[in-house]
Amino acid sequence: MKKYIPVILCFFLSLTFLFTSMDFSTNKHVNTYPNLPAPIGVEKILITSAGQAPEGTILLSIAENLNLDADYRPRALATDLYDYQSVVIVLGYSANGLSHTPRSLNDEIVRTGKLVKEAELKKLPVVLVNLSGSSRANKNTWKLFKKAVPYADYYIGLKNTKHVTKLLNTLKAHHVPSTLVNQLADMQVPFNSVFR
Amino acid sequence: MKEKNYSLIGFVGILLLAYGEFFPTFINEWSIFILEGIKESIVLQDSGQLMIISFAYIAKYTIIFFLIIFGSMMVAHALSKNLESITFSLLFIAFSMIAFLLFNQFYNENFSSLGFILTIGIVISLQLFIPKQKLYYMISSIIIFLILVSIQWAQLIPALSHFGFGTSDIAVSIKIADNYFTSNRLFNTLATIFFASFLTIASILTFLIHLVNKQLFTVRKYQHQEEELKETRIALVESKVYQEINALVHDLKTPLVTVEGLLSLINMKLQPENNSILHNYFKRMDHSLDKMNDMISEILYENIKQYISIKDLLNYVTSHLGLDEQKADLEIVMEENLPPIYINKIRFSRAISNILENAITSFAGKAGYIRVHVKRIDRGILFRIQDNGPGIKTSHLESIWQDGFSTKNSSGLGLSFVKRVVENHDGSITVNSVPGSHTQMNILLPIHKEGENKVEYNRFNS
Repeated sequence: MKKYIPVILCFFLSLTFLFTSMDFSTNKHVNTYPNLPAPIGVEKILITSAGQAPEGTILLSIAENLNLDADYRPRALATDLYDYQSVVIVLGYSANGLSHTPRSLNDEIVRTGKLVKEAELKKLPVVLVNLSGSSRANKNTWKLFKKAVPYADYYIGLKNTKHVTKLLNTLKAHHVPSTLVNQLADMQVPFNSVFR
Repeated sequence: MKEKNYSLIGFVGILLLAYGEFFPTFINEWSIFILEGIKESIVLQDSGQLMIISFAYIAKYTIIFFLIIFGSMMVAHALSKNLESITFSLLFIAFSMIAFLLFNQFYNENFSSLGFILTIGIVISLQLFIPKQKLYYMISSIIIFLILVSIQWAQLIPALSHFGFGTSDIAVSIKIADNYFTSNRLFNTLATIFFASFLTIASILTFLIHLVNKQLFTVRKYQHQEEELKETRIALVESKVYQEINALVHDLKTPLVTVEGLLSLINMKLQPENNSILHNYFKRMDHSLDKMNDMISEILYENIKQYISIKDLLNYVTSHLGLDEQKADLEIVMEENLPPIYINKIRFSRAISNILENAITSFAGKAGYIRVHVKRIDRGILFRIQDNGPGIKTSHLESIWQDGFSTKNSSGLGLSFVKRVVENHDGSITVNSVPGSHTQMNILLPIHKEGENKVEYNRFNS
């Protein structure tokens, strides 16, 4: 019986980790706008990434499906905005994505900050999109969000995310209208409402 | 298990651990291939390509975690020195967890501790059923590999994300892409099938190995029992033979006493003159009967001893030794003026014969020499019997004195008899042997002053 102690210990630890990592927030009911009442952006759109998560290309795919004129430039700088009329930032920190760029996380935060400030100066609408929900709801993604949110004009995200109340309160504090959807595919409607 | 070089096991374990920790830095191209593949599959909306990328992801992290887990296992083994101890399992858990946390810290991969500790738990539970024999590491590596592949697929099951599975950077990207393509239907199905299949294969493989090992153990046990039974049967038969010989020898005494009595009566009746031929014949017959009586007594009672010169003893031994058809060269060297020894002639000469016969048998028909050297040492006589046969294995040196021990399918009673006889004469016997060179038996007998044990001899002889 003694030989089973390490096995029992492992499964006990597994159960402990299971309860601590289980996400209970998805059951909460949240009220957000279904979409924007009137468009705020025009083409041509710059889609960039804050955090270099590889799934940022999903937004490019959505834009192409909606026949929107958009470029996906995940490493775009503030100086690249001269050719665009709208900025869409895909939030999501990816260690692997960032490790294949010459930038650190701090460089990425600074780049995001400069980009949104430049967009503000050029009076370009800034749309924040979070495709990963709870999967990338970590402190680094939050840092990037905090940097961009004061200059944002609209936020689209998933309901399935951690700390929804904190997120909505922050958006409210910066007067950013938001839409939280159930599925990635549902993002097409609010994203389309930004431009049409 | 054989004696192991634990330092080497520990060293290899540390190397594997270090290699596992730094492996991602060596395979930068692989990581770029995965990331670019995810982006491309999303742009092309190609779930087939996403599946291929997921295979690359599984392969990459299976190798990394295999190196970490296998390395930790070897280090834990080197430190605990016992694969079946609880210390080994606890050290294994500790080392692998530390290596896992360091890996997460180095690369910010955000792998869930739940998935890893569950992997370790499954590895340890299956490891309990793997026989701890020479193929242990090979079998373990296959089982660990299968478990890791299974758990890596579990990381890609979107339905398990809610429970904290698949939190790693790339797994998240793959699942998000799948959500966009198929609302997670594809990976919920395929990843679950792969997870269940590999886990089942690992469990069945462990179960089969356990069963085969159990069967082998039972077969070996039966073989051992059969050998023991055979030995006991031989010992029983020989013991019965000895009993019958003893009874036969004992029965010889009765007609001998009758012959002795009748001879005495004839002698009284005829009353031959002194120095006549008849008187001489009677005297010789009396002497022969006495000698026969002594021999029977010596066979029957081991404590019956007599003084005998060493030369007579060795002549008696060699006259009974069949050396004619052998290529063995027997050389006897004796110191001069050796005192007579006080022995049971029949038994002691049988003991010497046993040693000589063993030496002759060991030559297996080939040429060889046997040197018998007898000399005086302090208050004892040393019989040194040396031969240049194949020698005795070092591991057998302790066992040769045990009843029934034999390497030649014989009864295994010869040398145990020798030891018993020598010890019964207050002597000692030792053996030196160099396999492939020679064997040397040393028998040391104490010298008794003549008349010292006469009382005992007379008591048994009367």
